[in-house]
Amino acid sequence: MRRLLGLQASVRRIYAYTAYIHDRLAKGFAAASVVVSLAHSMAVVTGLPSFATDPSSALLPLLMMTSLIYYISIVYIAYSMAQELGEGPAALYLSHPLGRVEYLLSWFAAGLLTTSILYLASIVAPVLVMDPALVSSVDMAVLATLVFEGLVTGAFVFLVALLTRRRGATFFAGLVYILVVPLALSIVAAIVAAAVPRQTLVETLVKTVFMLLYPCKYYAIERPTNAMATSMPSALLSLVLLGSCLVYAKRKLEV
Amino acid sequence: MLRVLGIIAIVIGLVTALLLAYLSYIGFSTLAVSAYSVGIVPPAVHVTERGTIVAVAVSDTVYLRGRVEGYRYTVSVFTYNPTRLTVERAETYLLSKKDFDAYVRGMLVAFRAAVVSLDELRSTLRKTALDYSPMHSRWRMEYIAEELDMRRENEVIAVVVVEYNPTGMTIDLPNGTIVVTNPTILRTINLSLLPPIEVPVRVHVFARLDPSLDQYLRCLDLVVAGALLVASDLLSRMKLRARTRR
Repeated sequence: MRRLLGLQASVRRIYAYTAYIHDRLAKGFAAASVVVSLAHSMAVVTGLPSFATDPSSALLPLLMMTSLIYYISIVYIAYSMAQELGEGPAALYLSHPLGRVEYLLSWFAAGLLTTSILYLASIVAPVLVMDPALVSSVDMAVLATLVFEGLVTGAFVFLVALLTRRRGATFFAGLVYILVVPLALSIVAAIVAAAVPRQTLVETLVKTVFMLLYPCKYYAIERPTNAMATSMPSALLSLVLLGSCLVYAKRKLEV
Repeated sequence: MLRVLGIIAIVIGLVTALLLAYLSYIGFSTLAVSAYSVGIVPPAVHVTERGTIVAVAVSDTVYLRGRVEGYRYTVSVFTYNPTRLTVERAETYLLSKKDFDAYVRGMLVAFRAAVVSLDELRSTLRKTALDYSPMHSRWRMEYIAEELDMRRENEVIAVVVVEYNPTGMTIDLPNGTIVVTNPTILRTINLSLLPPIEVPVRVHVFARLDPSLDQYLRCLDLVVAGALLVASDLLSRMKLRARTRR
């Protein structure tokens, strides 16, 4: 019973701190959401007939562009956490009865859960307004791969923020992860494919790394028949990374 | 988060309503699906009483998998004349695939075997077609059918009947001579010697925005829901502030 009450209190503290983070970052959330909502509304109103004919092909190019805003929002939230850890305010919050794990879970909720909910809402709402019957035809596999990619990105940048506690390093690592690494992997894959006609170990390795880190981009390029199955390893990887963040925070986080 | 969700709902509701109003005002339409096929008409073409030769081309089937509320679907059929022959008359018939399979497919075989006359074929096509229209000559001998309402059909086929003036058509005879045709020569030679005629047919299904009242009401619903979310968030904040002051 006491444990249950403790858990309840812990959840209440996480909720309160998450609300505080939301308040602090409300302007950024609103700005990003407005941009994404505008793009999705325009695309849905003008492209719904082709979207209804072939949902995945019509939706994917747009989502590949707007998802950048989604991933950069996650990086920005990790950046804010690194700023808090590096510049001192975190010590103040943690001196309250807020545990380190609770502190980190609040950031995860604000950085991963909230952004994912807002992003998915901005996709589904215009479809719902135009034709509610079409909501069921939205390709859930595409949305799932997008969210998994966001989770892996978030887990990586939160880990960097926690380890370095430097906002600059976190933001830089996030941007490199989002923009440079996929490009570099594609170039390596192209060079290997051009040099050796048959599939080599290097090519397989590059593809596997790409599938693991960028399930949505992998889906857009390779179009696997079972997108959920190919993005499951990414979900597992993000869980492992988030778990290691929590373990690190519990054992080694000093503020 | 409630406030941001509310803002998203308001933005999406407003933007969608404005876009629906503006785009329908300017007559926005978008390509939903298209099919392209090139029918090579067999040499056994008909020679009509007016001395023209007839080519009948059938397009690929256009599948429209899903329809969206607030869009009116229309079909446009395009064909052009890659030969040097003059087109005397051209018509487009738009049929549902079901009716095409039931009534027209067999008749086309009979027409090519000269068992059925052109008038009989035209009469059947007119009876079974969702819509039909003569084609008007445009730039580069392109023929654009008037827009045809698709009604409730999801699989449609276009049949294009073109009458050419054979004057100037070249025929390679078995003895190696090349004959330039005219209506008189056509009546005397073996029709199987006529070269095939290419009839490319392109079918486009366009969706024209025609928003329903329901869509505007749903936009309004979304705006109201968003405003409620923002208001409830602000109210809870004000309550909290008042409690803290006390």
